[in-house]
Formats: sequence, structure tokens, C-alpha cells
Amino acid sequence: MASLALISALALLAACSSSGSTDGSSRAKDMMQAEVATTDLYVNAPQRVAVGLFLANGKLLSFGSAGFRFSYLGTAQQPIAPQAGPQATAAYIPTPGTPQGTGSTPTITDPSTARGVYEAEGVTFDAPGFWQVEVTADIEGRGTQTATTPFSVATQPALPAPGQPALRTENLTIHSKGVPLAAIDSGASVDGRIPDPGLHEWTIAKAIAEHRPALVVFATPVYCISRFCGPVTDAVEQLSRRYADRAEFIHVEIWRNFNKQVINKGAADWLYRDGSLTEPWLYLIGANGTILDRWSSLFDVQEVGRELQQLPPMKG
Amino acid sequence: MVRGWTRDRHNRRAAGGSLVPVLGAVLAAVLVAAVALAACGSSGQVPVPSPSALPSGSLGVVTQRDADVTMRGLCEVLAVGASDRDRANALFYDRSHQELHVIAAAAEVRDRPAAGRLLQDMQRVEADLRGHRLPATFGGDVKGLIAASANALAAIGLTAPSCG
Repeated sequence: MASLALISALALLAACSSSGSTDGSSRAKDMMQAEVATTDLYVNAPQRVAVGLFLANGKLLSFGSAGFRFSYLGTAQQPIAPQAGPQATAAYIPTPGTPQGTGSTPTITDPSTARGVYEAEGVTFDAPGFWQVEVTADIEGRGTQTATTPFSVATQPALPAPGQPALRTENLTIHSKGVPLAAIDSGASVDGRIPDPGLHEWTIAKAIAEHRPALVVFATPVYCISRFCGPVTDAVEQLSRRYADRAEFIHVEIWRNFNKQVINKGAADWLYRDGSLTEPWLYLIGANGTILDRWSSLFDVQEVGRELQQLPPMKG
Repeated sequence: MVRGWTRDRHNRRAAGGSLVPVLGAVLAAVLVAAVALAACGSSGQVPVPSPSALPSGSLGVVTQRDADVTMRGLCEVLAVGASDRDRANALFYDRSHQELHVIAAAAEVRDRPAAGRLLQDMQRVEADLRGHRLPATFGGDVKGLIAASANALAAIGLTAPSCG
């Protein structure tokens, strides 16, 4: 509980200091705020770190790039003054189906116009504990603003991570018997049909057994609380058409029964830890059954496409 | 209040088809999101159920004002109808969409089926809006979403203004 208390304090500090959003004034409502969108960060491995930027008035920051400066804050037992860490330039990653934008300057947008996150690649944290990221953005028409937000970094990944063997999961498919369609894909709960049957042909176990690479999205398009899950699954479906010869494409639905709070075993195997589950996640598994890469929340569709393109064409 | 980047988090009791008791463990990042998004003017506390607390879920608190703004947005979408897809899209995503997610997250704590219906009806409307032209069913789908939203709000003790 001590760690929770500390991070609460850090979060409050971040939310209420540099962004100056404590007074509810119109100026405060124009100040940039930040929230880390990446989960399961851990030490000594290059990772992506995504941050959402927004204003208190409901507007979002979209397009261009932003600067990230990371600082180490110590642990719950031994908090320290911020100690400078890595720096990076973060690129804008749009929600699939929304525009990428042009130019290098972040722009204030409505959610209907654009929505996405800013992501830095190859960030390595050298110590477990609490970190913060200071985001600097030169906002079109507003000038430079900064916002700071904390997050935690663990000693080990809690979820399957690159370099580890993929779990040989028998996820539900359209061939599964005696299973409600909505347990295979929550989209079926809306109109009674599975929207992307091609993503429900293979189990992860079968792909590994047949030495076929797999791109696996864990998501619940209907019951997702965030705004990303549906578009994320749609993006994987589009990738499956373009790179059909490079990998098998699999959607693992999170919920076996949403109303009764029953999670599908396939999703639980990969994502359910200590009573919690985060989604969406995207995993790229190599032909040898090793996890090649993973993406939390949003991903750059073109980047995933490039990684698929690097795989040798499959036989058969 | 924007809560746009909080990933879905499920503190659930069950996995794999067999019920597994689980305590409501909260990851640190959830706390970051909840606290950071609770607005600085708040007490700064993670929402904890209490008789006086506003309804809340994993995405934050829902106030009656939030509910009013969200529902008015849906009413405007209904008024626009299927004739102006871009206007309907802007109204839906700029006025109502994100807050509907917050309402669903709050409702699922108290009435899961109500939250489920709300999310299903949202999915219908979102599917309609993905097309270049809105289908003839759009008005009915929006009405369904308004009804599901009102039901979810009732589940968390808030009222929904009627369109009209």
C-alpha cells in the first residue's frame, strides 16, 4: 500500500504542478496534461513508451512530435529527488482510422478530428521503481508547454514479453464447439455474427506447432472501456489482408461472458495477472514460437507492417 | 474531463470459464490515471465507494452535469439524423463518446448487464458512423443508445434528460 500511496502523491504532484490545472480557470483549462498509456514497463530492455496529451477542456493534442525527458524517482521505500534519465523524441501514433497529420507541430483537435498518443521508441530504464516523464510540446498557436506524469517500472515484465517463448494457448476459434459466438468475438453480441472470421481460424498453439508466425491481438471490440479496442482489431484485420503470406492473424476475445464477468482462458493465460487484466495488446510471435515484439494500447500500423514484411513468406 | 488514454482494465473475478475469486488488485498505472484524471481541484483521492461518493468506475467519476452534457449530445445526434453524417459524427465523438465510456465503466460496478447493453448500443452507432453514408437504421440505433444510456445512468443513481 505504501507504493500506492507514493504513486498517488506523485500523480497529484504531476497533475497539479507544471500543468497548473488546479484552479479550474480558463487558463488552466488550456494547459496540457499528460497520461502514460503504456503498461508493463520493466528494466533493462528497450521499450516503447506512449503518452496521451490533452487539455482539461476535452480537447486533445494530435499530430507532430513531442519531447520526452524521463527521470527516476526512486522506490516506495527510498524515494529520491528526480534523477535525469533517458530523453527521446516521441512521434504521434494515431488511433487506426484517424489521420496521421502532417508537420512537426502538435495541434489542438477535437476527438472527432483526431485522437492518438505520442510514442517514444527504444527507451531503456535502468532501475525499477517510480519514474516520471516530462513532456514538452510546441503546440500550434499556443507555444511551448510541458506536463509531467509518473509511472512505475518493474524488475520483470508481468506479461509475456519479447524474447520469451509464446504461450501455446488454445484460444477459441470459429471451429470451437458449444461456445457462444460472442465468446469468440464480442462483435457477435451486437448483430449475431462474427465480424472478422478470418481472425478466428487459428489457435496460437496450432500456429506455433506448425512453425507459422502469428500476429495476435487480445481485445474486446464491444466491451472495451477505452476508445482504442475496436479500431485496433480493425487494423489487425486490414494487416491480415496485406500480409497474409507472412503470418497467421489471430484475434483473442477477452470476454467469455461479459455479464457474468468470465474471461476467456486464452486471454487470461496471457494477460490476467494478480486479479487484473489490461487490453488491448498486440503480439508478434515468430515461427520458432518466440515473442518477437509486442505493443500495448495503440500501435503504429506501418511499423507493424514493416515487421511483418521482414518475416520470410510462409509456405503453404 | 478527458480520460482518453486509460486502457481498459478488468479487475475481474473469473478467468477461463471457471470462476476464480480475485481481489480487486489495482495496478499502479490505474491509480495514476484515476488520480491524475480526477482533476486537481478534487480531494486527490482514488475514488472509494462511500455513501456520499459520486458514481465512478475505472475511468473516473460521473457527475450529473457530465450525464446531462452527454445525453444532450446524443439528442443532437438524433436530431441531425441520417442526413448529415459528418455533423452526426462530430457531435457523437466530441460531445458524448468518451463520457459514455466513463458512464459504462461506472455502471459495470453496479449493474453489469446495463453497462453491457450500453457498450453494445455504442458499437452499433460507431459502426454506422464508420461508413461514408449513414444507414437507414441510424436513427433507431441512436434511440437505442439513448435508452441504454438512460438505463445505465439510472443504475448509477443519475437521471437522463429527455430529448425534446
